[in-house]
Amino acid sequence: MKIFRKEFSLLFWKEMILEFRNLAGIQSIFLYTLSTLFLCYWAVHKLEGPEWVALFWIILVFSAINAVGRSFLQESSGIQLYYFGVAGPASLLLAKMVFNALVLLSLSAVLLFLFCITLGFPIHQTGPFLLCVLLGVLGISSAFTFLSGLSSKASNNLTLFSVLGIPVLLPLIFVVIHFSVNTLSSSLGDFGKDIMALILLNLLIPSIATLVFPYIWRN
Amino acid sequence: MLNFLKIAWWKWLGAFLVLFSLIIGLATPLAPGITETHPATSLSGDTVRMDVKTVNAHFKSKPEGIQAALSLEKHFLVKAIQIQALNENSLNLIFILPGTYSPGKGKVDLADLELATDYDGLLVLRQALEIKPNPDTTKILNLKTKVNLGLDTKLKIKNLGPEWFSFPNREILYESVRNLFFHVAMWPSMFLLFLISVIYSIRYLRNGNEEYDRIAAESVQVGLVFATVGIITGSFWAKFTWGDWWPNDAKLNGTAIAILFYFAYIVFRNSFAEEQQRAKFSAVYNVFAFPIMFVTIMILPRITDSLHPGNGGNPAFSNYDMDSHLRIGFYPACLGWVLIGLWILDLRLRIRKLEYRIEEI
Repeated sequence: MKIFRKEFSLLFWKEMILEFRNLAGIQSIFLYTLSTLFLCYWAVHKLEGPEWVALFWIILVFSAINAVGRSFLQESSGIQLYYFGVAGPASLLLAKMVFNALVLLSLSAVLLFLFCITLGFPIHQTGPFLLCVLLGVLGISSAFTFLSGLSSKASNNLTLFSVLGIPVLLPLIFVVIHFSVNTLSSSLGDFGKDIMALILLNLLIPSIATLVFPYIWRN
Repeated sequence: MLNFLKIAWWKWLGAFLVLFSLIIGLATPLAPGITETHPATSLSGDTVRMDVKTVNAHFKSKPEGIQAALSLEKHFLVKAIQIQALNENSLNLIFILPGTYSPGKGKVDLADLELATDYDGLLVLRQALEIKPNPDTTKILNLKTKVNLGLDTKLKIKNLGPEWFSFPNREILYESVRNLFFHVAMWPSMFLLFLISVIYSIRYLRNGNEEYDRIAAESVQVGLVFATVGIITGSFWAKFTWGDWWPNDAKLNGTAIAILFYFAYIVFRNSFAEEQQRAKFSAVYNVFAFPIMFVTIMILPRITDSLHPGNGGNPAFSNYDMDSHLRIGFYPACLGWVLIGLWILDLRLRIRKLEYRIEEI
C-alpha cells in the first residue's frame, strides 16, 4: 500500500509538472472550449432551460474527449516501456484518472463561468447542480482515461477512442442530464435517485477499470 | 437420422418451441371486450336504452348467466332491467338511472359498463356513460314510484375470464399483446449471449486460449442480432400502443446504448491487426462494458421514469400482470428463442473453426 501511494503520487506529480512545463497542451483544450462556446453564443445569444443544460454538457463532453484522449495517446512507446518497468498498473491508471479529473474540473469551472456571463444561468438549484457537475466530471474522466489507455495500442487511435468513448459515456450522460434538468426548476425535487445512480456509476467505472487494466499492462 | 436426432435434440426442441409459441401467439383469440356503446351521455333519472357492441363474445349462443350493470362512482351498481342479445356481439340494454343520484356540484360522473356471462367472463368498458344531473326534477320518477332499480354492490360472476382459451384483452394493448412472444422473448436470449461472451472473455484473460476469444466475439455478434430484432419489434409495438416509433423511454434508450457498446466492441476488434493483441484488448473492453450495460438496461430505467411496465410506476400498466394463458405461450417462446440463439452461435463457431483451420494450412 505504501509503495502504491508513493508510485501514485510520483506519477501524479509527474503529470502535473509535464503539463505545466509545456503549457501548450492545456492551452489548446481551453482554446477549443472557448471557441466552441463562442460559436454557440453567436448562434443563440441567450438560452433557457433544457437547451442551456444540453449545450453545457455537449461542450463539456467534447472538450473532455480532446483533453483526456491525449493523456495516453501522446505518450511515446519508449515512455510506456519505462512505466512498465517502474510502476504498477493501478497506480498509473489512478494517477492519470485523478489528473484528468482535475483538468476537467477546472475546465468545467471555466466553462460554467463563461456560460453564466454569456448565456445566462437558468439553474435555480445551484447546489445540486454543482454536485451533478462534480460527479459527472469524475465519471467522465475515469471512463475516458481507461478507454484512452485501451485504445492507445490500436491503429487509428483517436477515432477509435471516440468510437469507444461515446457509448460508454451515454449512461452517465443520461443520468447527468436528467439530474441537471431537474435542478432547473425551483421546486425541491427528489434528487436522491439521481445522486445514487451517479455515485453508483462513479464507483463502478474506476473499479472495473482498475481490475481489468493489469491485463493489458504488458502491452 | 436417429443419431442426429439424439445429438441435436435441443435444436429440434428449440425449433418446435418457437413454432409452438408462434402458433399459439397468432391463433389464440383475444378475450371478449366491449368496443362501443351508444348513447354516450344521459341525465340522472332517465331510462337509458343502450346499444352495446362487443368483440369475440358469444351472447346469442351461450347466454347463461348474462348480467349487465353500470358501475357508478360511490361503489354501487345499477343493474340492467332488460338485456336483449341481437346477435353474438351486439346487445340492447335498458337501465333506469337513479334520480336521487348526483355526483356532486359541477362534477360529471362517468359510469363503467360491466357485462358478464358464465361462458365469456367479465367484460368492462371504462367510462362508458356520462351521467349529468337532471335539471328537470319532475322527471325523477324513482322518488315516487317503487321501481326496482336493481341496485347492488357487486355483480355475482361465475368466471372472471372466459371459459375458453384466450389472451387478456387489456386497454391500450388489445391485440398487440401477442407481441409479448416476439419482443420480450428476444431479451433473455440476447442477455444470455452477452453473458456468455463476458464469461468467455474472462476465461480468455485467465487462460489465453484463443478458442475462448472466438466464442466471445461470435456470441456478441449473435446477441446483437437478437437485440436489433428486439428493438425493431419493440418499435412497432410502441407505434401501435404509445403512438411513437421511438418514445423517450429509459429502457429503449438503455438497450440502444447496449447495442452501441457492442458495435463499438466489433469496431474495436477490427482495428487491431495482430491477433493476440486484438483478443486481449477486446476481452478487456468486454469485461469493462458488460457491467455498465447491465446497469444501464436493468437499473437505470427503474430509477427514472419509464413507459415500460414494471418500471417507473406507470399507472396505465399497473394491472399488467402475466395472465396464466399468456404464460403458456411466453415461457416456451423464451426457451425456444434461447435455444435457437445457441444453435446460431454453434453454427457460427463451427464456421470460424473451419476457417481458422484452413488458414493454418
